Amino acid sequence: MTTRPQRFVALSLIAIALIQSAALAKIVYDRVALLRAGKEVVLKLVPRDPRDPFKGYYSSLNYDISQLDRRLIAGGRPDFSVGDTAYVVLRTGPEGHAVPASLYPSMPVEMAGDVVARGKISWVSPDRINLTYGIEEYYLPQMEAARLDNIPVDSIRIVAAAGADGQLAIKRLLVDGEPAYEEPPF
Amino acid sequence: MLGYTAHLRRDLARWRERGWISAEQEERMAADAATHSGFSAGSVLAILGAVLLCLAIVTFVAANWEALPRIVRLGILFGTLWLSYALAYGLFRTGRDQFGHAMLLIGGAVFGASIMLIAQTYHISGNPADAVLLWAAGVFLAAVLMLSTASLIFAILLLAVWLVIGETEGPSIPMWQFAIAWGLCAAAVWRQNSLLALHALMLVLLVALFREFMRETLAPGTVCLFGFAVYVLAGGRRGLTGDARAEHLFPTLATYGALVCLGDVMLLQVGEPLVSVPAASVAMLAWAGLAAALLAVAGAYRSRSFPPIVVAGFAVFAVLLRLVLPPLLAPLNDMTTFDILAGVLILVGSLWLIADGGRRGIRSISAAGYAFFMAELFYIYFKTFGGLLETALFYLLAGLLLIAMSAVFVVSERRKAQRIPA
Repeated sequence: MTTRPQRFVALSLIAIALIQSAALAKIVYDRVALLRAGKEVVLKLVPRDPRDPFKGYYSSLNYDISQLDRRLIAGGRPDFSVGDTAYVVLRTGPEGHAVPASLYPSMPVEMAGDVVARGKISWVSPDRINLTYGIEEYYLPQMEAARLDNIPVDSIRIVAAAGADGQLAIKRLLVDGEPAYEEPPF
Repeated sequence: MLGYTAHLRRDLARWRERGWISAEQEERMAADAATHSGFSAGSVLAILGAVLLCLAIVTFVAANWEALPRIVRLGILFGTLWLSYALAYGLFRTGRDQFGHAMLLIGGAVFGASIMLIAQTYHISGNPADAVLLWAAGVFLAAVLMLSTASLIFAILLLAVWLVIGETEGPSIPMWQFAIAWGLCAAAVWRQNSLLALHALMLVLLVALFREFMRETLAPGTVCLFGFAVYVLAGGRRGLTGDARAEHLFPTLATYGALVCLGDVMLLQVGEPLVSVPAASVAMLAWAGLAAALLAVAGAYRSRSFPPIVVAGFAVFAVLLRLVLPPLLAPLNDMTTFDILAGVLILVGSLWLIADGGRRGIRSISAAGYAFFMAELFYIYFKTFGGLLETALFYLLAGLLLIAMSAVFVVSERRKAQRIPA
């Protein structure tokens, strides 16, 4: 190293810091853009562990759109396999949260009022298809987590932002329709 | 490298006793070797200290910091990242290179922690393997730009984490993706000429090969042949590439080739129920034929005693063996044939390694040979022979054979030693 010119060392280090920062900034920027511009959709949770939805620092969330009936598959496409990308058309139901309407292998044309969510098939069974949307983990301050621990899952909703490509991002958390925990994008 | 210095001191003392060098020359040579041995307690401690700091940073992920607003969290992450590299610059500028490299390592850890903490801040639960790959790419960049061995090893080990996380949570990493990443790291190891990084590189390769082995995606014997090819390549003619790096790195590479080659046969033999034995048995014979032919090619190449046409002929012969042998040998297929075949391959292979390692002065190759030889003898003792009498007979014959071989070696070595003037 001692044989290399000082200027080259400085330039290299700046390049490393810049490129690594750019990679991190890209993640943050994509998320912030999605949270700001995405369409809002209210999602209902279903209990995975019936007792405590917010275990410790983070909870793994299980949505009622995580498990879909096979009859929702649109068109003649016979099957999905694990790892495939799938697009779920969500429609706001009578209870105020999104209800899955149909499942597509590629981005469908959106109807007014519909929101399309993009997911990955995590496993399939003869009558059900399981998807993950990248919003299955929710991190909370310890105090908040303790406070939310005793609230029944049924009364919790997650408000997500959906991008034009169907990507979902968690925006805030509702308890009985009231914002219980929200953070600004920045 | 410490082993080398100690060994050299012994040799120097003997040469002084024989009167070939003076006491003063001995001291000077030993002192020179010590300063060039590449071992410095200072840099090792700095790197180890950096590893501990890295652990501190990564465990910070679990700490209770959610109470801070997002913008403050991001400020801390980016600030720490730039601070790490600024400190690294200060250390390099003042000539404290080993601390500079340690700081670079810490910067890499900060980058990884930032990826995880940003995912946590924005509740992103994507594919964790992707996050590890991004982390590895960032550390790799630092290693290549700054020619940093510690960072390179860090990046290589992250590749192993990438593979394992792909296996445990989420879609598993396709082999071609791993091959590209591994190839890039291999190029960096070659450029930086680091033995330690080569060890890391080969260990990660072993993890990947083991994954393929457990999945049974490879035809039996493929890994064995791959190891063999590495052994032949790395043991190729001296100055093959006209590069000092080849002489530095290839002995270790050859040792790993030997380990992979015989290790695969041994796994097939011990883990019999895992693979379909008849197919394995045919493949083994065919691969053995191919290996023998390759060895002939390598021998011809190394001694330069054969014209290229003969070498090409050997190669064609090898391919033919691979194609023609299996159908011819199909009737031989059963458990016992396979066991005997694999046993013979391992015993002959390990003896060859002991001899070849001795001839080339590469101890690790000989050591691998001894290890496989002992392991195979133990296997045979517990597995193949039912009666004690047959076992005793086998050991008797094997022992006599080895003593006869050792006698041949001793005689040839004595002749060689006589040629050196006292």
